[in-house]
Amino acid sequence: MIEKKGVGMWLTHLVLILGIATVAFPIYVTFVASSLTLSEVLDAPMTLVPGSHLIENYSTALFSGTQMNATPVAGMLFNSLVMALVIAVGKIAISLLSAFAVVYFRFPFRMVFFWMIFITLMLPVEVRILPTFKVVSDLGMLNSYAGLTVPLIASATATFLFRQFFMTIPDELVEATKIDGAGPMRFFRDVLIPLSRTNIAALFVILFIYGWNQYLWPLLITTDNAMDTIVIGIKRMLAAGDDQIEWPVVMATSMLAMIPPVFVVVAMQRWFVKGLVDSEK
Amino acid sequence: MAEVSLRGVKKRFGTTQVIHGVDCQISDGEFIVIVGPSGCGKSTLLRMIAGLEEVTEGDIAIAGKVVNQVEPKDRDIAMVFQNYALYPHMSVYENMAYGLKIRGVPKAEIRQRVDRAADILQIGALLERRPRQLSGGQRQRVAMGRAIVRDPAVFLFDEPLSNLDAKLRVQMRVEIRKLHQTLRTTSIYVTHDQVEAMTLADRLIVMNAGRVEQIGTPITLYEDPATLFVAGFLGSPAMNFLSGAVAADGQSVALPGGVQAPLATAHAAAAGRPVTVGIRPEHLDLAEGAPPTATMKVDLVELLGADTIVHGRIGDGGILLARIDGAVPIRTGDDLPLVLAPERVHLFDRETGARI
Repeated sequence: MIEKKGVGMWLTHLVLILGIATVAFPIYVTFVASSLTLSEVLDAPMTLVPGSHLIENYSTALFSGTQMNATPVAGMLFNSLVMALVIAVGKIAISLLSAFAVVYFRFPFRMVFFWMIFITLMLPVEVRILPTFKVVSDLGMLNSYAGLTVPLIASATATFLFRQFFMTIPDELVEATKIDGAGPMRFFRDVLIPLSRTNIAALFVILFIYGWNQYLWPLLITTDNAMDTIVIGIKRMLAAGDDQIEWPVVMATSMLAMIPPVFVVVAMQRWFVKGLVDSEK
Repeated sequence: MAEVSLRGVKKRFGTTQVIHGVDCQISDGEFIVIVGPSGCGKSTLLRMIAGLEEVTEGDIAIAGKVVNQVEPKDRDIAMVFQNYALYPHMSVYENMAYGLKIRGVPKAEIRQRVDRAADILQIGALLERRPRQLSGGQRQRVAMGRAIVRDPAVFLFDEPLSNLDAKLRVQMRVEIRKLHQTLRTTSIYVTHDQVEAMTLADRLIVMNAGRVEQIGTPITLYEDPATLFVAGFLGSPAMNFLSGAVAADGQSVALPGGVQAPLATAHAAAAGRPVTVGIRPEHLDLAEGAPPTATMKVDLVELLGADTIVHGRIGDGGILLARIDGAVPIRTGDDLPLVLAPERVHLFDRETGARI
């Protein structure tokens, strides 16, 4: 990379700082609002200095919820965590296996299966949501973790990504394992998975956030407050009808909702970047 | 250690026949090189021996046992690939140990065998490194180490030196030969490089378009090529081919430019027939006062120091290359008198390419 000097450097930095400020400001406002009392939030204009009710608001959110929607956020966080983890891990496991089958095995209608998987890429969740709902409800999976996660696990995108990656692995490597005496599953475990680990990490980050941010599907299939995910929880807190929305608690919940995805991104950042840019693994 | 026999081995991909029947008996401890131009089926043949390709017809036997239906891992072979095929995520040690680990060899013995192989190949200091931290030559050694630790009956090499630079190739060639002298394991080595083939082989199999042209020791193939193809493939610079006709008495052959080259043995049966005459550049010598067999018009001179390559013509279509020992002061445009030993003249049938 060519290092810029003088005006160019300052200009670059200015643009970057402005960009970051634009993105960070709403989050800062959320944080400030989560540390004030309701009346302070409703003052116009709202102060931009953090207040003194931080711990109070967060503990209210975590352990009791708002008065209108008395579900503790701690439980919602747990539900969201389960959903995001199961979806991410499930999607990765299924995609790895199906990509492995499509790339390395010769079986009848192999390409038909591949194209069937591929075609589902063109059908987003919203399009197939009614039949999926019907199936899930007939199977009695409403208001359960299985219902929240299983229908979202099949993933054409991840299968396709892994397929493309597997195709770049030289045939000689497969042949070397054959001669070394490894069977297909051994090859999968000892060679393919270790080689895919940066891809797996990158996908995990993306899919965790995908699972965490799910809105429409959990909204449809959960009616029991105990099964609410945090995204749904925030939505319910806002539906306060004629009552005053408890903004500080809602804002505290929003902040809490952001923590796990941020944590995952930060923790896996090194792998994530490697998975996206590295050609040599 | 084991002998390998190929009996009428054929291979078809769909309707395309790529190997038209190979018969060969490889003895225990022999170093066999399969050589030929790209696409001649040499790699396919090796892969069939390895068990990576199915045999369409015929039998392959290792140590007296037909292995057509045996999995590669149960054939007691080890293979070195052209691009090394090292496991990129494993250290050198793990790469070499992997095959043994799968076979359930005890840890202590794995350690011992890997250390011994690393010793032979002088890669002891690299055991903890990853393949990507190694140079091409080192990777090649690791790939050979992976084969050695297995202590197999047969080593298979698939163009193992093609990815190395010229200097390293010469060095590794010598090392492979030395390694074979130490281990005496039956080895089958595929290459398209005729120098590699000539220097490494106990016996050569020359293949062309899916057929075996000739099997024999390098020197036999060099001195007594059975076909025009073998004659042209082995030797550098390549053999000169001229069109000629055997004289009526069968004692000499007429070359372009009115040259009559005497033959060592009478070819009465071929008398009057048009033939292809093969003469190796190194078998053409300066006349130096002796009565010349032919006079060549010099077109171009390449001075290599150790020898001089002279490009020239005799008559109209008779383009010739002569390799003269030492740096000889020859200039473009000279008329160069040359002598040719009669026993060095090879005659080939115009149609079939077979030696007469």
